[in-house]
Amino acid sequence: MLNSVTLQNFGTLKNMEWSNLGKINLVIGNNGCGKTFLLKALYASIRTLEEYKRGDDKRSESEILADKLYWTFQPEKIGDLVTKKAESKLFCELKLDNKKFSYSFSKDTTRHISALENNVSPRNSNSIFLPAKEVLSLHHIILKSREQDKVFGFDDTYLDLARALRQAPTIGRNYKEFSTSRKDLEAILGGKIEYDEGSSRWQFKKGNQKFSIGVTAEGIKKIAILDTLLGNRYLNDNSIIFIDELESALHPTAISQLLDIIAVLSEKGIQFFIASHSYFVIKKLYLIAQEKQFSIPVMSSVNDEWSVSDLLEEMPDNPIIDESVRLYKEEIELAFK
Amino acid sequence: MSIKEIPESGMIFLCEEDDVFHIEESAVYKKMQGVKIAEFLLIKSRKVFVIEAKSSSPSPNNKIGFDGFIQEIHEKLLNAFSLGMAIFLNRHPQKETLPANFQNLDLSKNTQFILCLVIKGHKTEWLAPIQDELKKSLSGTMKTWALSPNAVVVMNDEIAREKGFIR
Repeated sequence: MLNSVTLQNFGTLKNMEWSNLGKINLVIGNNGCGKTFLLKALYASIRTLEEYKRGDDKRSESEILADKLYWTFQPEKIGDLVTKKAESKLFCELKLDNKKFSYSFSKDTTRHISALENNVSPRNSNSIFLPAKEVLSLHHIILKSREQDKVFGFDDTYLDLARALRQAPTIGRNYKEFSTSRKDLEAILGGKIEYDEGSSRWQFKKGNQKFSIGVTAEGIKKIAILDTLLGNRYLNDNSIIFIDELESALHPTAISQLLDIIAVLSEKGIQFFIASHSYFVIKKLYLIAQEKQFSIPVMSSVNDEWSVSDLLEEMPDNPIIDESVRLYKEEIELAFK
Repeated sequence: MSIKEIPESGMIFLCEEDDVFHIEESAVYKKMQGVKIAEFLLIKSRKVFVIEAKSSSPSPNNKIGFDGFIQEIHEKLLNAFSLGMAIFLNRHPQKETLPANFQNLDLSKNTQFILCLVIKGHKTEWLAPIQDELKKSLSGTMKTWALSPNAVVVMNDEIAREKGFIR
């Protein structure tokens, strides 16, 4: 489990400290404030630790990290990730299972990261990043673009997800919480998705009917991806799931149902980082924190300033909440006109 | 005209004597048994507000409590509104006991009726879902009486104070 993060001069994130992380963590703020950037920064570091010493991979942490940053953010050189006009180096420090992983590099760095400290034991779990846009209908295009053509466009969050989905479903015992969650996810979907080897395409199966993934609703694809990753054992109880704009393409009822499932999975051990600008997401997570009496830390951006709060204590002071109150007040004013 | 103070649910409502019909104190209501009803009718800014005051409410997360709460408020507001209309239309003999400004009330569409719940100490961010739910519950009444789509209002004491309803 990720315990804390410190970022300095990391792109749009000039100075950020987030400690006492929880099973579920929420990042909120306006468009362009750096929510996705933060999730990607964490993801690149975590995947570095997960790929290190995996199988016969002989690459050092530094080599993996440089690759991961390059293909996740796709800059000309990784030194471009250092905040513009920053006087000092980019610095990142994570505590994972209370062990430190840190690195830093300057804006002149092209590919080689020399300052890196790793005390984290090799991980056999897989973490995943679920982007705001779905990947199923573009699955083969993502794989071709990255594996054959090796071109920028789809970053590593898309490639890793496309690869993770390629893993065949496994029959047999799964964690009880995972199989229960899969049943709940499939109840929301009203079916499940399957990969058709013949056509190399994903299909949505509802009863005896099969639908092309292209005509399947975006929200269904999104939930189906999580269902698939739980079914093919890509994820285990030590995985971290990063979800960018959880609310995109989802009906508020589906948002609530999905968050209930996330709460169950988090209690089994999966850690979640969720970026959102939805009032429904914040409110539902607030209710989960109250009901389950567990901490849901929030990193909230207002006017380029980041602040930390906890949904167990209160709803965060953020324009997303203010907007809901403002709409209510606007409605009240109509009654008094 | 004198100002009347009406203490309800831990709040002090301020009204002009001629603009308020305090239902619970009225002779017509005292003859009724077992009818749940809102506190009073109030003329303000040329609108008639049917006011129900509460000192608390359950959260929308508590399904049974919340639905029961909405049902209770619905019933009280509807009964108070109906009683007012029944008196104005001389279905009860007590029309002359109504305060002065209610005597010649224009019952046409020119007068807006607002069904209003005031909850003391309620968080502003929690008011919108209650207002939405109460509006949904009262939509039949709003349509049959041709009330405005904004005729259901839920306020806390902070907003009620801003709007000049309470001290």
